[in-house]
Amino acid sequence: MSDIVILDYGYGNLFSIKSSLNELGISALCTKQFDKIINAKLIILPGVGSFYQAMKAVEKLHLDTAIKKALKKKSKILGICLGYQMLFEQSEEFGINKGLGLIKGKVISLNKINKSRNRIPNVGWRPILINKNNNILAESFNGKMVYFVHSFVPRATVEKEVSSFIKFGGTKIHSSIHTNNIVGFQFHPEKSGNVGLQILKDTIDYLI
Amino acid sequence: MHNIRIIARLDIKGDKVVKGINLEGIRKIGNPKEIALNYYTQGIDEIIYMDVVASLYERNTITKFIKDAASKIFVPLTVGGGIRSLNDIRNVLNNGADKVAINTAAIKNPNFIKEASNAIGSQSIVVSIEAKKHTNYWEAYYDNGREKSGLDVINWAQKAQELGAGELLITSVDKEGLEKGMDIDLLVAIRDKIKIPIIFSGGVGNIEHVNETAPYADAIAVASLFHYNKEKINEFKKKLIKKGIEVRI
Repeated sequence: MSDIVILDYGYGNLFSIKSSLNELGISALCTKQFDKIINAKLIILPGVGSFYQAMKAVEKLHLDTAIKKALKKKSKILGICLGYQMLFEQSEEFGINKGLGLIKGKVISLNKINKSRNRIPNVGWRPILINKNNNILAESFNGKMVYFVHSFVPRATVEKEVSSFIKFGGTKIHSSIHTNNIVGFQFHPEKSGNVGLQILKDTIDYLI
Repeated sequence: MHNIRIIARLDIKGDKVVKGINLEGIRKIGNPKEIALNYYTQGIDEIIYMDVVASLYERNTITKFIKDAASKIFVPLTVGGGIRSLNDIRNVLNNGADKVAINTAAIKNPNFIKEASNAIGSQSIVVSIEAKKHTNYWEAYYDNGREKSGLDVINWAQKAQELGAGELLITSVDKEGLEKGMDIDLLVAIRDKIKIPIIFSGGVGNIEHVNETAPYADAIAVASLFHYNKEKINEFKKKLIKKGIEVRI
């Protein structure tokens, strides 16, 4: 049984995530099999594309049920990009759509908060600001740049769950969350050079 | 202002990185994987592989080494040249690319942009525009700068944005390969009419060319300067920071 599984539901860049784990000497299995997921120590939920379509694909394969069952059995979960957004209660991308509801908060459009008229999608390397009230992601990452590409972003209800922010459009947005058993990144640690690889490694060490 | 991305553009012909002038007259540079890996190690922000003959000969040669490169390069990778169907896009993305650049297929069927961004997500869809200057406008070309489309670059860029492009890659064919500076007039003419990020390409021959373009750019594509070893990427970025240009180091 693999300790780490990457959910293969058709909406993620599995290859890049698996390659980055390989680089760190960590093995992982790409799968959509229910029993493999519920018995994993860590479930990685990747995602690119639209929230609604990705959630529909997850539900069709009953991966939502698998994730919730696994969490009850003390598995941990790591969501990346759209996978991060799917951890929340709902998103307003193409109407209001329900997410997995594992973290309190809503996914909102960057257009709504874009006072300084930044370009959207928000594409590029941005410095993250560590949330000292959370303090799980090491402070040494403060100001380090990671790669973003997104038009929506979660707004977590519980500020303490937010591990890092970035500045966008004249405000601060929630670029990652770290809780006891759930982590999510809006940026792509697997595409953020050595800094990203280190964040990925530290997070996996923290979770399992 | 946001920091800008410094992107290495690797034009590919067959199994080699090549470099032309005005997208023609091609010179061999080296092995695509080795060069990309070298640039990654030196701190490049992003890499573009552009297969310069794929759209001309209606074939795809590039996927075989995308996978090789993508397994060792942990920055975004964009692949262009000969992308003409959703299957082509999926094939490239499944082999480790993050984005595709589409030119010819989009010009022949603009709705392809919409189809692609709906099916795949606009964050992966870069519309590539090859611009040639006429007396009072720029015309979009395709098939690697060989064919006229009759489209005005600015109108076409706006249309591409409307149809769901996530980014634009705009190449000045006139300046490309000459190493004599970028077509800043083109960038200035287009940037305020577009809300999505623009990768600007063509003409960088020294650090001053990047310095003078940076205030208007989201990302600048560089080729000759790195290919001919005139600058080491990490040193180059440090020099840019000294000039007050925000880049990642």
